[in-house]
Amino acid sequence: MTRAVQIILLAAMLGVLLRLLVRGEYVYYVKPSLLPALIASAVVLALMIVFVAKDAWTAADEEHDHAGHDHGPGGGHAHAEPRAALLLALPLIVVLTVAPAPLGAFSATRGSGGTAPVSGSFAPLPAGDPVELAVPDFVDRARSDGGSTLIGREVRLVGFVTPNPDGPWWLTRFVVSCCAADATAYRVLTRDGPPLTADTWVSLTGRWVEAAGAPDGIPTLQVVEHELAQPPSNPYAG
Amino acid sequence: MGRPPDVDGGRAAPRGLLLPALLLVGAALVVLGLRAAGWSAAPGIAAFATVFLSIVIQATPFLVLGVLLSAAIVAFVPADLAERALPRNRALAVPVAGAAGILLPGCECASVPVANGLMRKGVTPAAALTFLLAAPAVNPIVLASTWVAFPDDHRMALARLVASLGAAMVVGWLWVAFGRTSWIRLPARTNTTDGARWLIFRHGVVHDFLHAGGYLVVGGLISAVINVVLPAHWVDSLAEQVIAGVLVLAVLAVVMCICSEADAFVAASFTQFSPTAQLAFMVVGPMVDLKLIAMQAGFFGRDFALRFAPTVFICALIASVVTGWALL
Repeated sequence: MTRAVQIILLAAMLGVLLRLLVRGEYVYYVKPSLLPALIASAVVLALMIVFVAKDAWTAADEEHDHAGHDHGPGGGHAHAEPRAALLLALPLIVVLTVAPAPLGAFSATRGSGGTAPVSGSFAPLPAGDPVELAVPDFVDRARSDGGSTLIGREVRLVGFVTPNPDGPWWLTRFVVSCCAADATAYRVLTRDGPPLTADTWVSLTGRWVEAAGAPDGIPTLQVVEHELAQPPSNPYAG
Repeated sequence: MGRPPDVDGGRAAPRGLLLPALLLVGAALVVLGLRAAGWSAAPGIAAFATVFLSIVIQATPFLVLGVLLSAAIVAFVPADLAERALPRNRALAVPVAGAAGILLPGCECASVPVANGLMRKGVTPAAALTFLLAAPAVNPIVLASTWVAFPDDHRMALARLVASLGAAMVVGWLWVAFGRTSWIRLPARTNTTDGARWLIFRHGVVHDFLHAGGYLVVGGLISAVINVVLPAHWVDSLAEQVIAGVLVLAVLAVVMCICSEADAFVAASFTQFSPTAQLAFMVVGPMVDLKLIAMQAGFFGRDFALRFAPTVFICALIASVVTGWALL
């Protein structure tokens, strides 16, 4: 693998990182707390490119002088990378052909049915209706302690639309603990919600339907008001 | 995968520009072709792209840390340090290497290049492989996240430590007893001279990153395809059976390629499964998953990966079941 190829592959990875960092799209893939580590990785990649380019420059000079091969200390070309290294161009190809987007309705119904166990009990909701709640928080409250903290309260939830083949759509939010590959979908079944298409972000005001409980960890929300919403800067909760 | 290493590495300059030119033109054609075909509109492609990129992006900082550490070991650690630090007896070196795994705070992506660096320093394969298996599973960050993910049952973190360390050491001892050096493509031993250290470090970082990164992409690719093609909820029907449950979650750990620092939260969400099955998910995942198998095949050869991955899988499974039965 020549130095020129090495530079191209390193630059491809660096390009992916820079694009996602500059546009803030990295939150579609990993937790925001990984930001410093991603910046550090980009810096290391940039340094690698600089040093490989410098070596190539020096080697070109030497070849000119000696019309020979690069036998510099450290072996020069002695390390041969496998062809699989060429696949490092793939992330850039994917970024350039599929617009970066967070996980959406397609993935929401495909994960395992499990949701993390709810531990302990919840503090009462703050006073004043409607109360802004995260979708996962709402789901966990409905599943915990008979949903006692939700009874008689009006809540406002922000999430996206996941179509339901057997009934009204689900308001959905993913929880990510490390990267999008480990995302868990939290869903709320809507009642009397507006007809909306998949992946539309919406803010719903409504009440938990106590009688419906939370079968399979999916509580029901009686929709009172709705408003289209901007996708949040971090699409995932938790 | 498994091909002989690239041999056109050291050719003369004129040929040197052909491959990069082909690469750029080829990549540009692929991009234009895919855009023209409108492939991003196909169902599941966006989900595939997100899962694929998330595995690669999440792993990148840990991979960078791993290749920096590995290159530093190769370039700056004195050649006889490994011999002085590890017991001469290979069977005794195994538990020491396993315990040393507690010191590498990172996930499994870092451990493959580091194990490779250790072998280049003359560490016996049995010890280096034990370290490779133990480090991502028993380091403090992973144990702390397990502690947090199972708030009601802190025995889970202890069980993870015991089972992971046990499985890693058993694999190390199996290698001492039955392993053959012909199975593994051992990296050339590097003896550093003072003047060249910095150069060796730089070359090592670039080489290891390209090497491991390529195989990381392979693993992420397979995992993302499976994620989109085969929804995970098919496993739910098997959750009731104890034995099938353990097997199902162990296989899922191989397929999902989740970072070991996060897998405890995912394991905790499998509430339909027995605690032993959840433990198996966390013990198997950091030791055997698609991206690890691809990276190991890349670094140590396909023959090695074909023997190593199934052995580790079985050892991890048995260690989980025994530990789960005793502790959970």
